[in-house]
Amino acid sequence: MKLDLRILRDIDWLMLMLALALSLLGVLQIFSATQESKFENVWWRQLFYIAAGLLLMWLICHVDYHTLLGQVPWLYVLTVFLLLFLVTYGASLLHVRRWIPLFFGFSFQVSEFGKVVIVLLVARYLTSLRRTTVQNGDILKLTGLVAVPCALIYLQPDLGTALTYAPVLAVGIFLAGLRVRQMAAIALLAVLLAGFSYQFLLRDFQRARVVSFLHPDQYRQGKGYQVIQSQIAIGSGQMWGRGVTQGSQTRLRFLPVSHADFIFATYGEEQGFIGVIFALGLYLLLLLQIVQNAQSAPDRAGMYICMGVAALFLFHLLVNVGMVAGMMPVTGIPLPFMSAGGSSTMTTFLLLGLVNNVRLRRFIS
Amino acid sequence: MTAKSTSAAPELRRIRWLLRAAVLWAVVIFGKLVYLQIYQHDQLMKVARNRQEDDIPINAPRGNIRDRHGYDLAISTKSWTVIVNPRKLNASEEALAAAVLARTLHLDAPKISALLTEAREKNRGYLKIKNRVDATEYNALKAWVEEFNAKTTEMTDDVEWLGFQQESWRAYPHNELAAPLIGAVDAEENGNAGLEQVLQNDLGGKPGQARILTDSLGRHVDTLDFVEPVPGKNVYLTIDAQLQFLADRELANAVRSEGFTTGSLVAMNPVTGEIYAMSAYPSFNPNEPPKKGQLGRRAHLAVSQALDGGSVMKMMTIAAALRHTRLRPHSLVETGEFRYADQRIQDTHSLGLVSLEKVLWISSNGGAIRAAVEVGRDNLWKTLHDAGFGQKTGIQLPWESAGVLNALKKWQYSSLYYVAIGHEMAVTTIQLAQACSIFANGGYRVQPKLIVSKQADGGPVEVMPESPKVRVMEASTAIDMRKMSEGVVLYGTGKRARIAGRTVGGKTGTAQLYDHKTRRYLKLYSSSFMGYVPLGAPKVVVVVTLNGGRKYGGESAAPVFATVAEAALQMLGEPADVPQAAAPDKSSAAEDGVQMKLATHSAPAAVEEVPQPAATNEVLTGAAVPNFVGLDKRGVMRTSAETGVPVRMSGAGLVRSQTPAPGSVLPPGEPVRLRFQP
Repeated sequence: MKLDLRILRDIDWLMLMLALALSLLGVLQIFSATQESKFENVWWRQLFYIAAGLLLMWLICHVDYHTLLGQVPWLYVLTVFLLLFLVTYGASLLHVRRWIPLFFGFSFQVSEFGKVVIVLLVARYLTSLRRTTVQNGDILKLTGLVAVPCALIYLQPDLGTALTYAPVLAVGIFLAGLRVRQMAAIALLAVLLAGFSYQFLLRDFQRARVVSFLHPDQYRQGKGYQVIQSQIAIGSGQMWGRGVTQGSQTRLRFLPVSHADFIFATYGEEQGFIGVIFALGLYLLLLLQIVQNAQSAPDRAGMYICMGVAALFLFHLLVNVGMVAGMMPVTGIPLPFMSAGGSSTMTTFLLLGLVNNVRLRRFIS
Repeated sequence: MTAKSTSAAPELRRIRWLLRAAVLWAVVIFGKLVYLQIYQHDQLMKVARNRQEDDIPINAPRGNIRDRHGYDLAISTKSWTVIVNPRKLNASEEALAAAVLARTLHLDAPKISALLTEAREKNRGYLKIKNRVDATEYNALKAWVEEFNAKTTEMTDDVEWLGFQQESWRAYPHNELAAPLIGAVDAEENGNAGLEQVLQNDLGGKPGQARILTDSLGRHVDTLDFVEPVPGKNVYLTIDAQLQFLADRELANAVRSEGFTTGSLVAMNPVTGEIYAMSAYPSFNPNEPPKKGQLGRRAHLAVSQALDGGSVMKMMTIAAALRHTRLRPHSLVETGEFRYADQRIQDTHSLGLVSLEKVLWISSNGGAIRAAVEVGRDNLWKTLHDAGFGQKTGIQLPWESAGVLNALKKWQYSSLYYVAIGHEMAVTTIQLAQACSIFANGGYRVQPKLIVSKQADGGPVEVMPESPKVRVMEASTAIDMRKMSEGVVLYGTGKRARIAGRTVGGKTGTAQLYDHKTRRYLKLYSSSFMGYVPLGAPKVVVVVTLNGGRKYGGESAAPVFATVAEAALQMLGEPADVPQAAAPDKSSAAEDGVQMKLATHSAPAAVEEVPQPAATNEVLTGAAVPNFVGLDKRGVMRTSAETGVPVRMSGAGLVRSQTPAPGSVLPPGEPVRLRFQP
């Protein structure tokens, strides 16, 4: 395969610029939030991850997404195998549960790259149906396929990441022609499942998160701590924010993991409501651009891929911002582009690469 | 293109549906962001502040209390309390810690080691090692910590188990000296007695405040706002520490050796009201916290204890007689038991008709009462009220008693008789000093004054205004009284108050104490002496009150007066106003009706009743010059007439200077030149 620079001409530059703008906001905020802490050098690592992500994005554009869809079976098996390995032997052999160590202290989070696989898996499965409606059996089969890695990730335990697979599936099925009756049945099942999981599947700390989300004031110093601190941080920002490195909630370490999952809280504190609107505006344009690419996709497979990516990003965005604003339980879901993190950043750009991949082929087929 | 749009059409429609749902979700979250950042901002900001910021009071250094010469009477010293957090101290470090603490703080190492072990086993987080650690010990320990921390590597921790709490503590370098006057402070250095209490605002200053930024672990990250404390002012008292020391000692000796239970003393400048010494017995050591229930006993008895005035009040009665009746010092008054209705008031001196001045000398009850009958109740009450009885003097001390001077409408038929001799009323020693000053300064009631100035370190000197002065008695009456009162010391009940080389006037008092429980007079006395020296222009008034003993004021209180007054004059550098060697003419003094002169020589204080050797009875070549300073023209004329000293006057107003000086011998034929100025 020959590296093709022409790709650079034809990719969605608007989408890329939006993504890079958000990433830079993220780096700036990481820099600000980690001042004088042990995470002080995280911001340049993040720059490296962005660069690596851009490279991955470019590389993946070389392979036609139809070819990628063809590789789904073994990618899926590999993902499930790695996850299984992590759950069974990861702790005892490598002392890890989520990451597979690579080199130079970098490691890679299987569940993050699993997102790419799930997007492709859903796209491939639904494309293969060739109907305008979706059958119950197909729904069950596809749900089963997605549920296996989800369950393994849940066992790590990483409920948040496991949940991010769901919107890809849900959006996919919906687009494939879900009927209202099926939707109602799924909603009912989801409610039952949620109740069941809360009672039997959730671990104590996860249950505590839910309870503390519902009643944060009763857990001010305990489980509700993060939620309250996060809201205080956002609230302190007011209209214009307190300025870079001036967020006291962040600087005084009242806000936990302020450079990762709660980055939006420190961003809100330091950049204020104006900054928040700016960032959310960028996200909105970015998502619309992805949806635009889905609408102009050359075929259903491309459309499913783009919509899967959009669903993933939207879910991340709303759950993360919702969590930071105190409207969602605390789940370890990063904010795409802004949160610090190697695997998630690279995965995010890889997913953008899939969208570009689809876009690059719109006139070819 | 057409094919694609038809095949994708349902999906595209569904995408739009999805978008709508997503927008709805986003709007809800966006609304929450608006709510948090715009509407709840102020409240959340406050919450954030509360969590992040901490206000720490910074104590202002307390001002010192000094005497009139700048001598420290109460000082504040910085000290530290050394504490250990045993939870942060590893078992392996314990021996080291104990050794260091023992070495720097001069403590017993095994004992500390045991304390540390015990505290660690009980998982305590706070162990006080030593309080009131002075700067030397503190610096030694601090130096060790810095040295240790400098040597630490990444593997070892800095010293985190050791802590210091800075505090300030009040020290009274002279212990009991003037303790009831100066007072004391509580553990927070707030005054709880004496001047420490009254001057709390001046001495205490204003505490500063630091608003510090703390992180989530409570560590001090930054100081946001620092309000410097306003240091307390140093207060300079009118007290003379040396005189105070002597007064304290003499009073205590007298109370103990003469069999009294309490006593108080005031030495004051009658013109300015400045108090040179003010003692009370029993005293206390302000360096020690009060024992349970004893805080109230830290009041100054000279202001808090009001007792029957007794015979010293006859000064007021006779002054009222001079002012309001035709009685003159030489007018004859009947002495002896005074009867009214079926009651009788005893008089130990039943001499028949004697002069009014002799009534004062021998302290005749009958004479005083008969004079008071002439004065009348209204005039007597007004004289006493004007002199400040029944009212607080307004001295800057806590727990001042106003004493008792019943309103006229409450007086019974016999009240006039009892008030005339100092009963049916209660007076404090400070009130007596104020009243006595009226005679000494020529008729003014002057508020007693304790504070000369206040000055914060490096700040401007804040001089206290002069004490308010009210004329309550005619100068002539005051001067007459002064002259008459000399006889008390020369021939009467107060002979023990004599001071060698000084002209002394005063009055003794011995009041039977009244027990309010049994409603009977006890066989215990409140014995007192109030007087002034030198007689010409008194420089100091001293009042001594001893309570709960069986001795008369002339026996017990007068010697204390003499010692303190003499020391006060020495302190003031006041020259002797009569030759010390000269002895009074005892033989004639014993007789009634001797013309008393201001220039009369008084005998050494220690000697009394014993006839003096006649050898020293020399006749002076000229008259001793009386003190005219401060007198108006009428007073000068009167004095001149009475002493036979010729004067030459110039200017108008009051006498400001005179030559020759008072007390010196006037060359025969020469007048005293007086310069008057308004």
